[in-house]
Amino acid sequence: MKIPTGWRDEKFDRYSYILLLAPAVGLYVTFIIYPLLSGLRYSLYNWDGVGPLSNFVGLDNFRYLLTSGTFSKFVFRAIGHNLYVFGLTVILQLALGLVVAYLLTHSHWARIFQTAYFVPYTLSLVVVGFLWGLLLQPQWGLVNQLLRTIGLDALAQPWLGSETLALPTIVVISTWHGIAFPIMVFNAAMIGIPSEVFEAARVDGASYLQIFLRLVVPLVLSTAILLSMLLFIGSFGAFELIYILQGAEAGPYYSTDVLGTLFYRTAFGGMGATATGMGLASALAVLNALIVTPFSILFVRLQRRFTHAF
Amino acid sequence: MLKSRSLRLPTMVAALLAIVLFAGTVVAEPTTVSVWTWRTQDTPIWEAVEKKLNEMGEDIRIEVRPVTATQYDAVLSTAMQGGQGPDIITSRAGSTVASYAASGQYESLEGKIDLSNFDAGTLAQVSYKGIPYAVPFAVQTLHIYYNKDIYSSLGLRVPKTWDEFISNLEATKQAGFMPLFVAGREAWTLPLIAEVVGATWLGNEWVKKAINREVDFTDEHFVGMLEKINEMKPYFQDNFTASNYTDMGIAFTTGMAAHVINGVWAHASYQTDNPDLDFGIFLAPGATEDITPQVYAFADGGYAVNAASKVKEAALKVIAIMATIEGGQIFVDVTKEPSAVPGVKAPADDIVLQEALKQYSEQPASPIFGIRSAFDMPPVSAEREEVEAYQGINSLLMSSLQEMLGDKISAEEAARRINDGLSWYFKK
Repeated sequence: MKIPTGWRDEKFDRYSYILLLAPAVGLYVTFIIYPLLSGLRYSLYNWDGVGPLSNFVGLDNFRYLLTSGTFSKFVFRAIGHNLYVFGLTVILQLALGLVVAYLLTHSHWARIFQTAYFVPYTLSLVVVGFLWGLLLQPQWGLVNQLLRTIGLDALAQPWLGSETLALPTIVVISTWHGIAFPIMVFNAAMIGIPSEVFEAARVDGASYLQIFLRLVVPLVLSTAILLSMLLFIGSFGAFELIYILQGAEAGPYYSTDVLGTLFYRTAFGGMGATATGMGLASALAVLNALIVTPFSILFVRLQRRFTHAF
Repeated sequence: MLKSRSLRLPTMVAALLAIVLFAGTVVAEPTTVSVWTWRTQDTPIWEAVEKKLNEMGEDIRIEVRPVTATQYDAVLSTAMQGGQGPDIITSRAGSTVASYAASGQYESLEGKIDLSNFDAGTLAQVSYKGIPYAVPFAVQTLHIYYNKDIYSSLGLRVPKTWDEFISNLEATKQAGFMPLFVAGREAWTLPLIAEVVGATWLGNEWVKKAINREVDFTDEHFVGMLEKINEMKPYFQDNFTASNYTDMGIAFTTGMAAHVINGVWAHASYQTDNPDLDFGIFLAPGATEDITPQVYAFADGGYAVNAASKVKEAALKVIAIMATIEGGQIFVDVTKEPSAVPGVKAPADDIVLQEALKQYSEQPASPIFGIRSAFDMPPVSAEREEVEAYQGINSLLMSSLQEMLGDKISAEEAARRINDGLSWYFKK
């Protein structure tokens, strides 16, 4: 088959990558860069979100959300909750995910278990929120009924109505929904470790626990860092589950209020609540991006440092 | 042959004309008017309105798009911003109408639709700077719902004084019922309590003074009203902060709860969920029998026309129907909610709605102080001078009541926070 001359053109060869990249770049610009720049622009206006952009105020929205006293209290509390979600999620999803993934590599029933862990991950968060809302209902929900039936009345708590329990409860629900992902990734990383490494360790008389702590953990550390980065980004993007379970007010007493719910309330109001303004909300979104970006870069650098090649 | 040739051209022209004309009659599409709403129950209303318009010779098709209530405001503002909004907007009243009107996105209805029938207070809630921008649809009234079977089994009567109400709560508690079920997990339900109690306990004179800035919300009269809410707290169900609005409906319709505080909009679903449930409504009683209890009523929303609509004329024709008694009657028959159009009757078999309409016509709180009131309309973009987290009173009631009922702050502190949040009003 004769290839047309044009296809062999040197210039075309040199710049053909542009054609290949164009669709992805187009999508990235439309759905990531454009909204980001729009948000940045809105954050400079004292604008309520309706009608043409008006009331340019420079960086006043940022000054207000960081120093106003009343509103900044909400902002810092929300950031604290985002960090709390990240911390607890790392403990639950990473630690548990790592252990489960390790056990699965030694289980004959691995595939069945993997499927079982993966089922919640396929459910939408709306379904998960609705389901757990019913299960945790304080008067007739299944969880408290079960606890009362087996005589553990003291443990039958207002899970989603307690200031101290609501956020950890939501993190546990989120773990139930999302733990399949770290399990899957850790499992893949462990499968990637050459079997000779394990065999050598066993020949040297290492126990399963020793192999896990001294071999597996260091070898999947870069995977753990990658997952931590994803969890960090996810924790600062937390919204859906809290909104579904606790509403835009993120109760009780804002104990589950994160930057996502604060943004939503500020931008759009809520049931019967008046919106504060799109300008201030956009400033919040920009602040969120300013927190997430440097940490993501740090995680990427750390991950590179701990990557092992076999 | 020549003759037949000379006839060919006119024949062809005539045939073409006939085809064009005939095709015109066949493919003529009705004018489609899109309506967005958070009220899924409204779809049959628009079917009836479309039928009515067609009977009037208007070739209009109405296309309804229901959007989840909690996401409606966000979806609408994004769409309107992007020029993708509907022709008719089911709009929340108050600050929503003000914002869209101020930005020129809602069409002014002045001189275009006859709204002279409507009560001035109701019309004010869908107006901006005195110009109406929407046809009000429902007036929502707030009540204390009670289970009549529980009342008769315990020998109770509808309370005529506050003390009697508290003693009724106590009696139902002693009998093992949840005396008053509160959806504490959903903060938006808490202002309903303040509005029901405040309608009677604040009184019209005090609210007028507050609107005129002669008193503010730190006034002892307002604090006293909040204290009345605190008196009800021992009768809330256990762990009330963990219960949501759905739980409230379940508890009441299954007979577990003796009372709930809710809007009249809920009565139809209560009847559907348990047709055997015998329930009624009453208003927060005053300190003594001679004080007439008052009902808190507010315009739930209105039908507005998108100023950028390409079928504005047809859209105006559609919402004009909703400003008539006939349109109001369609609304009531479908939704079982009080229509904002004066003179519309409740269905004969709907005792609760009849009672709500009676209370609204005889004992309305006027002016109002909570949702949709002057205190619930923070300045729109054009009126803002400095960056501030502007909030209306309903948002402030949500956060303050949640903390007050959670014993985290006193009634005085709750009142102070509400007042501080309303500085945009009192500084005017």
